[in-house]
Amino acid sequence: MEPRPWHRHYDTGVPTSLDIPDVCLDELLTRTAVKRPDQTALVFFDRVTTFSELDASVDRLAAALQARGVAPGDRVSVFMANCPQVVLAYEAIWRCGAVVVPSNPLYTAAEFAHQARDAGSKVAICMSMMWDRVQGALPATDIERVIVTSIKEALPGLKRLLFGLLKEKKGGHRADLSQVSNAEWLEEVMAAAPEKPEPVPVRATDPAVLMYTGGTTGLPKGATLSHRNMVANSMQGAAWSTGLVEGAEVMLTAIPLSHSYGMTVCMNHSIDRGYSQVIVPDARDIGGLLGVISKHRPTLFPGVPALYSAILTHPKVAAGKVDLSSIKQCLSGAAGLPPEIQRRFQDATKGRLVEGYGLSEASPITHCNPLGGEDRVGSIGIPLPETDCRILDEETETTGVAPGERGVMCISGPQIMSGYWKRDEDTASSLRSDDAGTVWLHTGDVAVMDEEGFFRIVDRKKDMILASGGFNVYPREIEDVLVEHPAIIEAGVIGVPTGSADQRAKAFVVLEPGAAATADEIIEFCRERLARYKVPKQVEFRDELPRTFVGKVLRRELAREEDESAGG
Amino acid sequence: MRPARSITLVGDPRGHPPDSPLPRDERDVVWLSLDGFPVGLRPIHPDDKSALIEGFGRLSEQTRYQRFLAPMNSLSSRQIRYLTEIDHVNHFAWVAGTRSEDGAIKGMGVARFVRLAADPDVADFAVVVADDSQDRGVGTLLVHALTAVAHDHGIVRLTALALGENRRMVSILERIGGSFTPESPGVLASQVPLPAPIDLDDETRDALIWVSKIAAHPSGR
Repeated sequence: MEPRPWHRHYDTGVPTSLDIPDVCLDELLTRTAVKRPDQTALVFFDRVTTFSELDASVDRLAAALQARGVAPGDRVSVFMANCPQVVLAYEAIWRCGAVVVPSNPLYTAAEFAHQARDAGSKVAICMSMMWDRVQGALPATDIERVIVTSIKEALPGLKRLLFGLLKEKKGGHRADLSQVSNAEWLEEVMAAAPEKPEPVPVRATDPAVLMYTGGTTGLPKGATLSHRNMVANSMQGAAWSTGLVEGAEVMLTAIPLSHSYGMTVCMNHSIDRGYSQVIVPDARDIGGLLGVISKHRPTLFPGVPALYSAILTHPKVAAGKVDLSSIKQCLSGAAGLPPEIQRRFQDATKGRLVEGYGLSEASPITHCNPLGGEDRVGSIGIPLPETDCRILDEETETTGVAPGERGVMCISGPQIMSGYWKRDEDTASSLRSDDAGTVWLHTGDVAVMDEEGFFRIVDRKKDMILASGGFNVYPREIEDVLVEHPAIIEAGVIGVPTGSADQRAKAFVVLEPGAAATADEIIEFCRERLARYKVPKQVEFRDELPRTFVGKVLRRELAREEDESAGG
Repeated sequence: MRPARSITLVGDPRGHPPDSPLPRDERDVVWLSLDGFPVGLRPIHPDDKSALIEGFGRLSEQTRYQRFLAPMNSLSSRQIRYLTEIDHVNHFAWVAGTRSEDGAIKGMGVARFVRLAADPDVADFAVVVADDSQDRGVGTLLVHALTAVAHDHGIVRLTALALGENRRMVSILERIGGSFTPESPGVLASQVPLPAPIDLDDETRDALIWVSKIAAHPSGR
């Protein structure tokens, strides 16, 4: 059979190969700022920032970071919810030749500390509402300086005043830095900074982002993504989205910019193509999100199934009171897209919603369904331009299997990471060269390719729970926290279905003889140590966990018992 | 793939008389040279409890997780009894050790199989190697020694669970002819038909089997 049967299914105008320019990410911004200086780059609660204004601010912050010792190759942690300052911080870090270490805004102090320590971050940029957590984490990290920003710095005048009066304290946005010698406010840092940074030598192949991702091998590890990886993925996405007008589209940035999905598909893509980004700080506020859609009329809306589903079930949408017709193209990632949600969302918007696939190690997108052509229900689509994909036998991951047969999905392309940060063994197990010297990312996902080159995920080799919001949760991380509890000696965590596309974590625990603990206490214990979406929703007490004769815990048995009890 | 290790028999316990005054540590040990490095194998014994606890304490969290497929801070006294007080017929275990510079024996790893009650021709097995002894071929050696004894005990198939990400274990299983099926997310179930391809010469294998029989029937010595 032909080597890449999927090329026949590309939409008209989508190239099979691409020339990836040899540029760094912040150069995409500079180029657009020159080409479209007055075009709106960012919109946040009615406050508009043009591309030239954004580029000038990036220069200033980069100069300020340099003055604080940030040099090429240094890591800088960014701990923020979606707001214009995230874009500013990322671009400024890149302009210094430094590496962005994004932290999920839901992370606890301990989770943030692990990441910052592992990455060796020396500076952190955070929101005021994360300051307490950053401060708590500092002793466990190498961070020397912190730049703090309040969400109100990005609000227009009146909203800013009202926010200060009404929400700042209540929402935990107020931070007192007066007694702290190593933390400063972003506004003050910017005001005192030189206009331009010193030019630094950065190559496109240098690291740009450490994208942390969990695993069964313990704590999250950083996928090292270069400028070239991320530029390539942005170009691949742009090449896929035919029919869009450069400089004229409006991107709804509702998914977190702390993940490469938002970073590439929303931010870098928009900056490269001169699209305006409407930034939504909290996509869980569906009412607020609908208000933004009505007002700013986005044309592009990347998301996750749970988000589209939440919009469809909102009473205003159900009653037909919200006009979603501006939306032309949506890419759904992170979890399988239920056909019912796809159909209903397309009906409501008259636009196109297609499922794609990606992973942190691939900047992240590798597959997508054609936007114009045939849509295969249940398929993650076909590989993007310049992306190759093959299915290898599950046992040895060395031999290709025939179409229709299941095996481990392996991917090569310019968007694939160079490795895991300081984890050679994990890198060697995930990135493997074939006889021709091509490096393949072994995804751990078990998939099937059909005769025409459409791929379908059938199983995950990695032990992973798909939590609501499209987050991946690794049972190992939760189990490690549970056994820190003084009363717990053993713990096993599985994902149980919620009735929608998501799963939630359920913990089975064995208590120390004579010890006592309630489920609520244990959940609270987890809440203090784990981001909200990882906290188990249920805790079941057991005298022992099911084990094999040689003592290995049988999660399959836990899942089977759970299925049986759920089925009555 | 890693080059094959050189394993040669350097200390054969079959030479010791049954009433040898040597301590048990000396008597029942098959001493091998693993790429020139001395490694002793002997069946586990109820007296090994404190050594087992000490060895478990030296394992990294990751190694413990790979062994038990769950985080384990400690072994309960019941688990320790289960792992050391065994009959060497339905439940057999090798311990590997070496002599450290001060002359004391230092544990390097353990491999065990337990016959399935429902199907006595089949046994489940597990192996663990201390972090500072990994990547030296000790795991492979233990597994080869274990398959030899299992085959001698009439077991026709071994089964094992391994994390898919545990490349060391998956590669050992591949080399002894294991096949794999997904067991649960992240975990592979492997089946190894016996006899398995083995890197031990006949003399070494005979010495190991002799020691395993002594452990199973100490009075018959």
